[in-house]
Amino acid sequence: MSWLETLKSGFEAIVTHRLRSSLTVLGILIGITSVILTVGLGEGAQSSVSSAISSLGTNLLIVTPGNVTGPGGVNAGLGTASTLTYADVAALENHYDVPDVKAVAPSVQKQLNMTSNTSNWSAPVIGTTTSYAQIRNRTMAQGSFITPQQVTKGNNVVVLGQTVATSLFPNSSPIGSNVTISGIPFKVIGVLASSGSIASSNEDNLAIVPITTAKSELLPHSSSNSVQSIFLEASSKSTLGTAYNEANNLLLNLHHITNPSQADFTITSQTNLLSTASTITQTLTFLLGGIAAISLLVGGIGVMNIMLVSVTERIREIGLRKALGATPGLIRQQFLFEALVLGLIGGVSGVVLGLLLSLIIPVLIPIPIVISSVAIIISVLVSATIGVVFGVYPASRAAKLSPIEALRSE
Amino acid sequence: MDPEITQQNPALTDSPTQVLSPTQSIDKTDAVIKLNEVKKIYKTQSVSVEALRGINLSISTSEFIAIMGASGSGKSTLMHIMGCLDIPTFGSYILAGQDVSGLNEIELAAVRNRQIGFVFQAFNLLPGLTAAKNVELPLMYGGVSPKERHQRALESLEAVNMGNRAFHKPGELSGGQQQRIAIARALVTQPAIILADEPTGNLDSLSTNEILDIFIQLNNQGRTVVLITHENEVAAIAKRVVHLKDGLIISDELVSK
Ligand SMILES: Nc1ncnc2c1ncn2[C@@H]1O[C@H](COP(=O)(O)OP(=O)(O)OP(=O)(O)O)[C@@H](O)[C@H]1O
Ligand SMILES: [Mg+2]
Repeated sequence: MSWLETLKSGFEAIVTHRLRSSLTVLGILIGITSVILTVGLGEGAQSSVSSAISSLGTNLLIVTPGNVTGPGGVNAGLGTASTLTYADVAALENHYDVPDVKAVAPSVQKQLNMTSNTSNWSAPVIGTTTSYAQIRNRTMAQGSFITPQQVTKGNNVVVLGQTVATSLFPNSSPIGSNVTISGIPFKVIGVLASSGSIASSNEDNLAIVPITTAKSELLPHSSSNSVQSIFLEASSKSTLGTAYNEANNLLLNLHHITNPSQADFTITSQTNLLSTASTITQTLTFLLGGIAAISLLVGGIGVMNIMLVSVTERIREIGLRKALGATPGLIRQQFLFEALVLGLIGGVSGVVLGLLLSLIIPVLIPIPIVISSVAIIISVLVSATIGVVFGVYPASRAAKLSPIEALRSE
Repeated sequence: MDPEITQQNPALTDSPTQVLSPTQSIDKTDAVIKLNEVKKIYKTQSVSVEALRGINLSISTSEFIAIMGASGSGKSTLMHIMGCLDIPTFGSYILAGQDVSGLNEIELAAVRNRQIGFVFQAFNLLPGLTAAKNVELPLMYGGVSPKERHQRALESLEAVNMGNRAFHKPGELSGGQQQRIAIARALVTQPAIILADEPTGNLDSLSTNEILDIFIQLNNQGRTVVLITHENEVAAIAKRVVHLKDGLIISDELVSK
């Protein structure tokens, strides 16, 4: 009796008990589907987070005052005297000291009210320089970004983010119109293209003005020499580390700090953010995957349960097969193959359902699902393994049955 | 619940002191079945039942033998031992020249497959398979190729007049027809002996006669048939009748016709 024949007869037995088999298969199917989806969701979250972080700017380093990294650092309030100054900015712009820093953009920021002729809106207003657009990977939807001349002169010009532009000018093009920020009129010269990332939608809710204007008109009480944060762009991805070290050493020197642990500034890189974020999403994936794996285990126990019922129910069949010359090994094989086929059917249909749902779910909720072929192959292997592992005990019970006991039973 | 079946391989087999009693008249050299002081003891937790208490029986090729006895006299136990479904607790059993009393499960399976054709009271056909597939089963375990298997199954079905029902499932057939398929299955491996335990027990008188006719026909073709029954009318078709009582043979006579 060949393996193929055993497989075929296993399949026949499954078809004979259609309802029971499909209920068993359902257990595995749900398990595999949830594993596929949770792992897919995890990977999707990971890729969307990392693309969101990349969209903040390639090779970006952010210098913030204070020794603690976090959103509070960037948004340091006006009352806090910033430890970062124009002197720091000028030093960082000097290519001899920091050869791997390609561009520098100081910034100040404050949440302010803005009004157009028709509506008003509140959003963070960022004062910065021309290099900001390049460093933060921003492109223009309309008009142009602030120019170096406008920064030098301290012109009252503003570039709006998508959200601000549509809120203030729902029906007309904002270019050339006036916006009043904190009671001071500004001329709109451009609108930023949307950053296009769900995870960083606040990147579209901002307005950008020349840093000089911001400091003189919008933040009149801040120390004239200080900036809130400095964005740096490394010359390439590979020089991000050296750029970090150069900037760090330069600022430590400028601030006369000998012990780096007492630095009054913090430099954050995307790499930090990326690894933190991927640790979080990985933990999430493991957690969800673990829950899904438990449902697979439950499915496996279902297979075992059904196989045990099947052995008991088919005890006469087993006795008969033995009387006709089936060895215990062949009986064991027959039931193992049945369990294997059950597992495989569950696994394959689980993968198919998982793939279908991975197409449907992103339409309903804005979360991408990434399903890798590795995940598919592993799922099918796992389901086959579950079938076999949970089939072993029922199969050897069947194999051990004495033929007379089996034939005698009613 | 499972009876602890005592397995002992007695060294009695070749003992010269084991001489058949003169009353066991039929002791031909071409015996297909030769039981020597066979005992079967079923041990449960508390009690042990001696189902066979020393059976000496020799059956020759082409014999047609009926085994009779009251319920519980040990008929089925004897058939299980003759059919290698079980092994004797004591005594030896030689089937077609081979001592099978000490074989292991795998060897017994092979012997059953090649030497024995079973016919059961309850037909024991697999409901999911067609008649032909049911008949093919023993050949499948015997390692016969699918093509030859199918051919031989059809021939065997033809021999019991069921060639036209080869592709029906058992549920679509009458009891008598099902039993004929079971007989075809018993025949298909060309076994040394056909063992039938109450083959007509579940059948009406018409079907009973059909089945008995088939057994007569098979025996006329030279097959060895052992028929277990407690009905005199059924036993009447055999050429030799053995009576069991409490695990012992109480009579063994040839029937003259
Ligand atoms: N597995 C077993 N465990 C314990 N006792 C058993 C077992 N099988 C049979 N027996 C006992 O052995 C004796 C013979 O049983 P057996 O089935 O051979 O009788 P039988 O002649 O076939 O009866 P019937 O005509 O009712 O089929 C009975 O007393 C029975 O209870
Ligand atoms: Mg009986």
